[in-house]
Parts: sequence; C-alpha cells; structure tokens
Amino acid sequence: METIYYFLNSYAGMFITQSVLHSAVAAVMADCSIAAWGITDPVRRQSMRIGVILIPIVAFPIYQIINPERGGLHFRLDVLLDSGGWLLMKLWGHVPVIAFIGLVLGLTVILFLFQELLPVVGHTAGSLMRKGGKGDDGDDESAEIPERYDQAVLMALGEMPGEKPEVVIIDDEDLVVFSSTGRVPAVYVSTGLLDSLDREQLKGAIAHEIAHIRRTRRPVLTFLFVFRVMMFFNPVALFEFRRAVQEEEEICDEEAVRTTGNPAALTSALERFLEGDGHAQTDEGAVARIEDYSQDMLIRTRIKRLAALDAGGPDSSGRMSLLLFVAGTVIVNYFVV
Amino acid sequence: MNRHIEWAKGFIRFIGLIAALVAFLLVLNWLPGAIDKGGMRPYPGVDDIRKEAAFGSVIVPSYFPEGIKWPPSLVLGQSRPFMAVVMEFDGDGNQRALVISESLSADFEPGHAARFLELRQSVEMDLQGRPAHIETGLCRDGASCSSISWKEGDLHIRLFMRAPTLTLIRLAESMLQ
Repeated sequence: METIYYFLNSYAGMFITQSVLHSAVAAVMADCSIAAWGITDPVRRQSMRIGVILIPIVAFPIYQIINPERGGLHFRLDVLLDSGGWLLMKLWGHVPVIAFIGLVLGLTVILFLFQELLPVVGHTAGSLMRKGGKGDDGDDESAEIPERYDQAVLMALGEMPGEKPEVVIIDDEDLVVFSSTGRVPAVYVSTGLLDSLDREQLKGAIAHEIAHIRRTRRPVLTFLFVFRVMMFFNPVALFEFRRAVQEEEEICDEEAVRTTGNPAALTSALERFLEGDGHAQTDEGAVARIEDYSQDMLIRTRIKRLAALDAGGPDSSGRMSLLLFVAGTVIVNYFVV
Repeated sequence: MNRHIEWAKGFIRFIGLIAALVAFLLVLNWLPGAIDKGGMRPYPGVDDIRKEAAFGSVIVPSYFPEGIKWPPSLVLGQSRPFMAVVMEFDGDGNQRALVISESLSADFEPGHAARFLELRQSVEMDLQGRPAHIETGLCRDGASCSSISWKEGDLHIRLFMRAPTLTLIRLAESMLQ
C-alpha cells in the first residue's frame, strides 16, 4: 500500500485519478446543463460530451501549473473531494478499495482495445486491402446485382444537391446501410434495404450517410477520437464517447432532413429498421441481444428527435449554456483531487 | 423577452443542480473519514493525537527556541498506509516557523510548508551517534531556512525551520531518546 500511496501522489498517479474523477464531474455537469436548459440541439449536446472527454486532459496540467501545491497535503485538507481518502481505504479492514478501481480501469482498457481500437485498426487494414484488389472484387459484386437496384439508387441520388459519393450495392437481404470514409468515401446499401424502402425513405437514409461522410472531413471528430485514445483507461470517457457518437447520429439526421426536406420519410425509414430487426435475434448470444437492444433504443431516440424536429422542437439554449458548463466544470474540478 | 426569461429559469436550475453536486461531493469526501479513521486528518492538539495507539511513539521537542509559539497551529496524522504525523508551529509574525514530521516511511512529504525554494547546502553529520542529514537554503518567501533529518528507532524525523542550523540542531537534540 505504501507504493500505491506514493504512486497516487506522483504526477502520473494524480493525472490518472483526477482525470477519471474530473470526467465524472464533467459528465454530471453536462447532464445538469442539458436538463436545466432543456437542450435538444444535438450539436450543442455533442460539444458538451466532447468537453467531458477533453477538459480532464487539458485542465489537470493547467491546474498544476497555476498551483504546483494542488495535490499536496495542505490543499487536500480543504477540497470538495480528496480521492486519497477512498483509494487508500480498506473495506472491512482487508479489501483495498483501489483493487476495485483497478479492476474497473482494467476492464475499461480491455473494452477499449476490443470494441474501439481493434475494430478501427481492422477497418483501416480492410480498406487498404480492398483498395489493393478493388478492380476484381468490385466487378464481381456489381455483375450479380440486378439493374433495378442501380436504378433505385440513381433516382434517389439524382434529386439530392451537392457532391455525391460512390454508392455500393451489397447483395444481402438484411436491412443494411453504412458509409466508409477516407480518400474514396462510399455509401453501402443492401438489396434488402432497397427492396424495403420507397424512394423518399431511401433518399433520407442515403442523405444521412452522406452527412456522416461530410462530417468526418471535419477535424473535430478526428480530435474526439484522439482524445478518446488518450483517455483509454477512463470508464467515464468510454461512456461519454459513445454518447457523443449517438449525438452524431442525430446531427446527421438533421443534416439529412435539411437535404431532403422530408423528416417523415427518414422517420419511416428508421421505423423499418426497428421492424426488420426481429428475425435476426433467435440465434444470437446475450451480448449481441444487448447490443441489438441498445441499437433499438438509439433508433427510437432518433425517431423521437425527428418528431420534435417535425413539430419545430423548442431549444432555448444558447452558447452561454456551453460556456457556463465549461466554467462550472473547470471551477468545481479544481477542488477535486 | 420570453426567451430571456426561459434562459434565466434554466440558469437558476443549473445553479441549483451544481449546488446539489457540490453537496454530494462534500458528503463523498466526508464518508471515508467516517468509515475508517486511518487517513490523513487534522487533530486539535498534540495530546489528542498521542491518545491514539498508532501515534503513541510521537516525539515532541523538550526545547523550543524563542519566537516559536506553543501549541502547534496544525497537527495532522495518518495511520494508513503508514504512520505519519506533521506538526506545524507559527513564529512571531504568524508565519510557519517550524515544521516537524515523523513517519514510518522515509519518503513521506510533509507538504509545501517544509520545502525549500532553493537548496544551497547539503551535509551529513553525527547527531549524538545517529547519522543525520542537514540542508540549508531559502524558504518560499526568500528567508533563510534549514532542515535536519535522522532516524529515531523506526521513525523518520525531519525538522524544517526558519532559523540558523545551530538552533535547529539544539532542537533536534532535545528530541533524542
């Protein structure tokens, strides 16, 4: 325990502990702001989620520059929360609390590796390999797809303004639509989806994916992922990163509606996804079922949000609410060590 | 106008929620001390800390140089993860004039009140048969300070003082057992 005590009082130890605590405080502050002002704008909500991940990374070194004694004995006597009291405590006189905290951080690292880092690495490697053998694969796939699917995609794309990415049709009866980014971005739609959606619904779905492609060109999302990687051990950052990604879906919904001018079509397309999910669940494991459930929840939230958009949903928040969230978080976190 | 009123209502709700968060953090801070009293915390005085079994071996000097006020203005103690006690004494100008730290760990850091801004000299000496380490330099406010550290049984003792080294050695000698 003596070694742990000195590690927790070192710069690295204080950074790890305080960044987790500061993220937790920031996450509560973000939810307080959202609840207090009834913020419905997903852009503003996403800014707050990014703040939850970013503020702890930036604020700690600044705090220490402003007051190098901040982690010291005397400062800790007058703070709002001194983590040392909890971390060095032994439950029932034997079980160190820090063992539980270490377990949570360890699980977070494992989740980060297997659910976030490795899929990104795999996706990047897959994209590079596809690029290498693009001619053969592309020709074989398109040769099997009936022409009516191409027509459906062309009709949907034709009425959309602006730059359009390549649309790749996948021979799959499930409802699938996603986009890939990078130098040659593309939207992928399945034949099952093309059979299920009418032209307006398809326009909404493709416009949503195009919005994703447009937004990934902005550095803010790249920075968000870099911050997330820096906070690989932080369970709060893991949770908030996912919430920021969920906000991204709603932002893209709004952009799609701006492009098509038809929120009802996107809503009904999303409803198709809810209806189409049922058949795939019988042979899935518990984890997959949980993921399906959370996916359904996300779609339902998006449908609700689109309905609010349709009705001209209220949003009385301003930039001042974001500023107050940042200021409040920075001030409170200064006294959390 | 209506928009401004809505925003102001949101602001009041936000302040209320922050107040609740601060209150929650304060409770969270108080809880470990209530469950387990081994963490670093202040004590009213030297006698109070000595009553606890973990701090029975705490040594207090029998000699105090002129200008040091008794009792100590701050007494801190922890029994876990290792025993450590800090006693801080004020001088004439109500400045920290003397800091005594006693710990079972050699690396224990008693805080900024016992830290040099600039270290000028560091020498080894014999303190009545015990190897001791003396340092001199400048305090945070630029005044001359000195410190002496040695081991008394299992206890690592360090004195830090705004005074010449000779006064500090005399004070240290009054703590030898």
